[in-house]
Amino acid sequence: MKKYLLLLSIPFVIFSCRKDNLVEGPNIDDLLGEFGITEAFKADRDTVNFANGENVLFTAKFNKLTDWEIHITGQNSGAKKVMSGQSREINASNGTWEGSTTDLPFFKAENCDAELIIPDITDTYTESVEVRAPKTNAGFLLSDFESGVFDPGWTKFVQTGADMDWGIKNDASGSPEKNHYLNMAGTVSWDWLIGLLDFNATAYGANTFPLSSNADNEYFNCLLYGEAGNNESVILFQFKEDENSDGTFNETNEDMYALEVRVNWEGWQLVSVKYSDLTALENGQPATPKGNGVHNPDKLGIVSVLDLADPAQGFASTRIDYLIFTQNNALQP
Amino acid sequence: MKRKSTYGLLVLLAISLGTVAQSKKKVSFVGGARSLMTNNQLLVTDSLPDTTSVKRNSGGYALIDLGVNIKPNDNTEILGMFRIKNDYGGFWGAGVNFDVRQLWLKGIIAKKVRYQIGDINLKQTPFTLYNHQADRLDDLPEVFGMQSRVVDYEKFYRRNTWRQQGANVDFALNFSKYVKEVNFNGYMLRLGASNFASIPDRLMGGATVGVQITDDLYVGYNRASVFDVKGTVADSNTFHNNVNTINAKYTKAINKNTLTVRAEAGKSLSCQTFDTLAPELTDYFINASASFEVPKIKTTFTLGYLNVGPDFRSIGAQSKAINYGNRPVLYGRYTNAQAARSLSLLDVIADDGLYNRSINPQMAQYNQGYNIVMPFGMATFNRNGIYARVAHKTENYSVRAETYLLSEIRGMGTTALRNMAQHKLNASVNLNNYLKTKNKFKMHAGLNIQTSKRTGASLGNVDFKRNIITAGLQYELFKNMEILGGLTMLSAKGTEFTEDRNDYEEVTYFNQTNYDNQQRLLGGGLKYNFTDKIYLSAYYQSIQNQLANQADYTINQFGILYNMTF
Amino acid sequence: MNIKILVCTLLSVLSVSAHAQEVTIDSLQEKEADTDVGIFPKRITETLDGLRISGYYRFIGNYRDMKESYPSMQNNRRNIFIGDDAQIPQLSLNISGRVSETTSFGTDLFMWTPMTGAGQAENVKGLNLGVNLYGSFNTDFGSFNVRAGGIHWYELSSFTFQTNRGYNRYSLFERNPWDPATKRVDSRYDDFFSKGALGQDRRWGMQAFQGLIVDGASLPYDFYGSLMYGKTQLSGGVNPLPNNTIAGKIGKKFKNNTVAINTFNNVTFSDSTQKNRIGLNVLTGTFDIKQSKFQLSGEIGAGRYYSNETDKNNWGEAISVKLNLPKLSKKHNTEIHYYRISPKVLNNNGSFINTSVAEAPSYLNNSGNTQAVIVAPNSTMNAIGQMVNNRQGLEINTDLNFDKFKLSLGYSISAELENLSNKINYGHPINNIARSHFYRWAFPSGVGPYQNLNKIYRGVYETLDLLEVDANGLPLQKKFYNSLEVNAKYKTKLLNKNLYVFYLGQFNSAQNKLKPITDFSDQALLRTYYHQLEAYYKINKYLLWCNYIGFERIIASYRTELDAVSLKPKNQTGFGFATGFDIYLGKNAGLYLRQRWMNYADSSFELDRFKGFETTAEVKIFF
Repeated sequence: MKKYLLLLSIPFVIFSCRKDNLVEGPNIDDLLGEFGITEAFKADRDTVNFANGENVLFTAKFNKLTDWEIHITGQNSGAKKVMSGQSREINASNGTWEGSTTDLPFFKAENCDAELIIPDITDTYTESVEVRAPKTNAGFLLSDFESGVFDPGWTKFVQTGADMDWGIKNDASGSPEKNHYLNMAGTVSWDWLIGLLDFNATAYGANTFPLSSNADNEYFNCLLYGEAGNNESVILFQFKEDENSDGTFNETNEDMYALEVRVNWEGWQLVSVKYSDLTALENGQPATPKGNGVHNPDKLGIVSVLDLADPAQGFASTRIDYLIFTQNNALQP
Repeated sequence: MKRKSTYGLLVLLAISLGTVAQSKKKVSFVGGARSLMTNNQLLVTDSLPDTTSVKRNSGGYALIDLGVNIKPNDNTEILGMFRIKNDYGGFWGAGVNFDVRQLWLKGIIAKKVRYQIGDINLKQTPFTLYNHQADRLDDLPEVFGMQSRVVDYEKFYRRNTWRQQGANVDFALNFSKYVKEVNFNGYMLRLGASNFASIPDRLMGGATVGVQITDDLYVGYNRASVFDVKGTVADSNTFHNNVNTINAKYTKAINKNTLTVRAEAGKSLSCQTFDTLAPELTDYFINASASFEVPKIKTTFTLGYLNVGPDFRSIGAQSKAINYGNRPVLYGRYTNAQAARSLSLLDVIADDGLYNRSINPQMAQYNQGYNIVMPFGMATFNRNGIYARVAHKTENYSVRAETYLLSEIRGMGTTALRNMAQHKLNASVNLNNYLKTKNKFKMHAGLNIQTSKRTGASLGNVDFKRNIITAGLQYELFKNMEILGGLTMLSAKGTEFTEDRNDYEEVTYFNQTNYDNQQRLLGGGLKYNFTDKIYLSAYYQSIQNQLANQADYTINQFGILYNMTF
Repeated sequence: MNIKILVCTLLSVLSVSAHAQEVTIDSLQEKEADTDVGIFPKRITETLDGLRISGYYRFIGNYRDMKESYPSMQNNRRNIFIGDDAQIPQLSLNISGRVSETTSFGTDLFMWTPMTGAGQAENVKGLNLGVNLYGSFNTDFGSFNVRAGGIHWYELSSFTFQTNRGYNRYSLFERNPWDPATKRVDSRYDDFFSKGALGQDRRWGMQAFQGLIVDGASLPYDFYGSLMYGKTQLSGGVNPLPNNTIAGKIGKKFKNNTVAINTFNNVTFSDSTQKNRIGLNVLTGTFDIKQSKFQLSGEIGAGRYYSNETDKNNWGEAISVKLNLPKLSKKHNTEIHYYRISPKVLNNNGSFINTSVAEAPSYLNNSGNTQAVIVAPNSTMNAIGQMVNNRQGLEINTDLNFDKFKLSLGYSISAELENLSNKINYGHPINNIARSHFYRWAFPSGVGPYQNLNKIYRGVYETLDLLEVDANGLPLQKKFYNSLEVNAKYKTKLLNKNLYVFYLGQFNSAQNKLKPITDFSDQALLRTYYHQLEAYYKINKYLLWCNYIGFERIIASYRTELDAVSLKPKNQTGFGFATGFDIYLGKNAGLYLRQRWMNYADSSFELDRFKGFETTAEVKIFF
């Protein structure tokens, strides 16, 4: 009998102790008690230069655990940043604004209004901050079209369709970043292709773009604009690798990866993709790459942007801006 | 005498030949068939007249499950089962569905190892892999029980198993010394397939090594592990849930009585490998009980202790059969505002669309109105306490009483702990034995009380009570024809808190809920039993559901159910 | 500490493993109680024996080439069609199994390939009759049969739940999808000659029903009865809006005589929120009294159709009485039939046609997804034996039987009870099936060059508009109908081989006055004359030659619609010439070839004409 008891005692011996947490979840008294603000909502500065690495710190303290949101809105651009949390306190850990945007466009140099919103509380808490210089993003910028013209090193082809409006626009109020964007609009009744633009690495002084060899670390990003009521635009991005480093892309024996985006939304939207997630496409369907089958961002020689639309459906219109490669993470606008 | 022996040998020979003929039969058929027709009516008590929702509907189906059981040789067996289903009202091929209901291969390797591949029904222990059916009502009156068994059939619920897909092997070793026999059982299941983007392949593997040391003593080791397969998606973060337990059973005869001691204890780990925000949960449980059977008074007494840690996680044991997130098939929306209709007893009993076929890695929703004390059965985490059972059974009647007195181990949103209790009392009487009639006449009744109380938590105090009363009768009108009657009432009243959990299943919020729910399900019908497994029934049932924060409603249903199992 | 325990455990296992012996497994079936862990069920305890599969294969293909056609067919005068678009699949498997002594189930599986060249992508599978469950049980009160699921073929009585059986006067030349295989190549024609009817399958005269049917027999005091609850093909559909039928009968036997009470009730709603109830009720008594060679049978009762638009007490009478006169000789048999059905009585599941309630068809078939049957609200000119509501009539049918010659004569006179319809429907028996092939798959109405053709199943009927109507569009007078039918059958030997010659003539008229016989004058609103002469010659035991000549004349009066150009009424002439072979392929298998030339024209309506041929090949094998 003793040996049986010994056997039974084994589990008790090998078990470690339980965690000492006495409470799980938020404090109920906090949740159910009446809301009060114990330290006023405020920003730690009136002006900020995000380009110099400055941040804005918002702070506030509450008498209980509280769901809160801070909405920061650019007075000129209409850009919006939303921060939210459930806490007793807004501090550096949850209330720091480094100039990023939640809803496009990007913030510009402008005055911004910050509003603290507490659900079911009608009182308003506001602050103002002047942005002297907007945030800059690390990465390799293919183009933000701010020069206002096509780089002679790029390759452009535009169909001679009807109502063609395919070119760089200077439109400060309509651009998501600074003042320019590429407008792609027209009617081509005989072909899906409306126009294309090749960003050749040679235009930037080398046969390949300055990207790392780690496809898991490289992200391609751009901003795309969709219009309601028009034929749906399809933007096909092609990433052509010069695997044998001969300065040209050979489609029969080198990899070309692609990303097809159906622009079925309204307004500006950020499109980001990890380079390693790109796939080879053939007629829109996944296919086997023609080259070594390895994602080699460091061998990338050409980025093509093809503006497509169903020829049977008439006029299509979209816009693109701020094509940029970032490392480690997708673009945080 | 010799002549008699000759006849006996001839009979034996005939039986043997019959057996041989049977064993030679390579293809045989199993399955079931069912026809169900229902007519339903919804009555809504609302301040606004309802002019938008449909109040009456009819539905049903007829189906055949035809399983082809193939035995290509003595050591191999294949079952493929088709389902042919015809919706009620679909003429000339309309409303017809064809499905493969199940497919498996079973066999024996070298007369030593038994295996099964494909669809399999599995269970281990109540803390590793076990379908607790925690919210199914005990001793349902037969008029509702028929419908409940249809749910069991549809979802392959059988003896607390879960229907899974994968492979299982088992074999055994006999020993001449020290131990009597060791049984090995191992399985590997696929819980989900990768979408090649963000969801990895998720598998479940497990094993039981059961050691029968003596005829009286059994000790087993059980492991159940759910894990993501690294490399099936780009994200290298993977989820793991490992449960290791040891269980034991010891039986000892004391005079003419029998003492049985059962115990299981174990530990779980639930974590994600690279997600730093994901908590690593580890905890243990203990469940031990002693039963004392006294044949002289036809009574068994059981006393037990249960302690399941608040961080004990076991996907195989804590998956719920019912999914309260699903919408009822019948009248999913009601009132003029087309509000989602809250589930009623009728739905919980008869709507197979609410139930899961297999285990689900996500923590299941539970409904305090139906089960607050042990929503995940014995494997409910954050419970500590004792339980006791008394079961008394004679030819004429049976009585079973059970009580659980539990408390939380960790406070939920407060340091004060809930005290919970569940008390069950079920009794059935074979009245025909008292009335001395040939016709079967059985009545039974049950009571299930659950309470939850938390004091000293200021705003977080809790006082909640849920009662379920059942009563049923079966009277044999004439041979094989029964009159059925049943009543089930549920009341849930008081203040409780429900939890919001984030993607990591951490509690993020508590919602205070005031319950005032009264349900009454009344049913009656006729049932003709062609055999034990084949019956035809016509029934009528009515559920009244009075709700605190929603419009009250009544659903009346007339149904005809013809069920065959073969 | 943990490592020590692990080492100890391993050593213990190793030490005992020296004494281990693998357990031998002799059977795939485990004992259920062996262990409470692992796979369940441990054993499959019961299996079903005796699964039975039967069915048929039927290939049918048509090729049509039209020299003249309706305008809508100008671009496809030549047409190839494989299959039968009348719900009859190529391969039908009837699967049934007996589960216990008294219970069984059955279903059918059909497969069909349209053979357009697309292969597997276009192939169709499904159930035709659905899933059926059967059971029977005996009690002290009687024996009961139960059927659930469905489709079940069933009948109650003529006014409640039945299809018209008619008087077996029809052409044999075109084969029906349900025609059974015959033992001999000429059995089909020999049976028609000798018995006056073909061996029909189980559906003959019955209606399709889905739901629950309980039959009771040997009830106390010789009562018998049945109860039906479910859907008919006209009230079916998977729409959850209730559209249910409760029907049944209870009867009693008095030696050779029976009386029964029958009822059929259907209720649904004309709106999705179920405020407006709509339905029909029929309650009748049937009787069958046999006295020596004299037989009196019939059905008398009442029915109503109700909706928001009608009075709730909208009951009307329904009477059908048949008197079989004593046989004057062994060669002569006569039946007199009187019927009267009020326009208030509606039941599309009975054997009479609705010609009075215009709103009923769309409402009572509101569940969709069911049999696409056009139920005519128009007045109809129909074959003898086919009853319609809003009509009373007298029919006399006589059979004369001589050795080689048989004659079946029919006489009918009927009158509308109320003048409700300004339209008359009539058929085109000559080239009827070939004409229905102009409209595949669906059963459209209002088609044809003048939008007055309606396809129903394997036939086409045409609608004629009357000009003399009041401000509400109702006809000024009631209509009266007369019909004469002659079906002559002759069997002889030619070169010592069986030759069967059948003639079917039908002469019908509709007019505004009561006439004793068919009105052959231009006083009639509409006259239709049909002649069909057929000859079947058994060349040998494998080959039978079939021939057919058909001619129809349809003449309408100037009081009916006129062509806008010719300003003349309908004046239609149709011919059909056909030949073909029945080829015996073996037991329960046959090949049937047909070639039909057709020529039809309305001399008044320029566009209503077609001319061409249709070739049909059919292989049918039962197993």
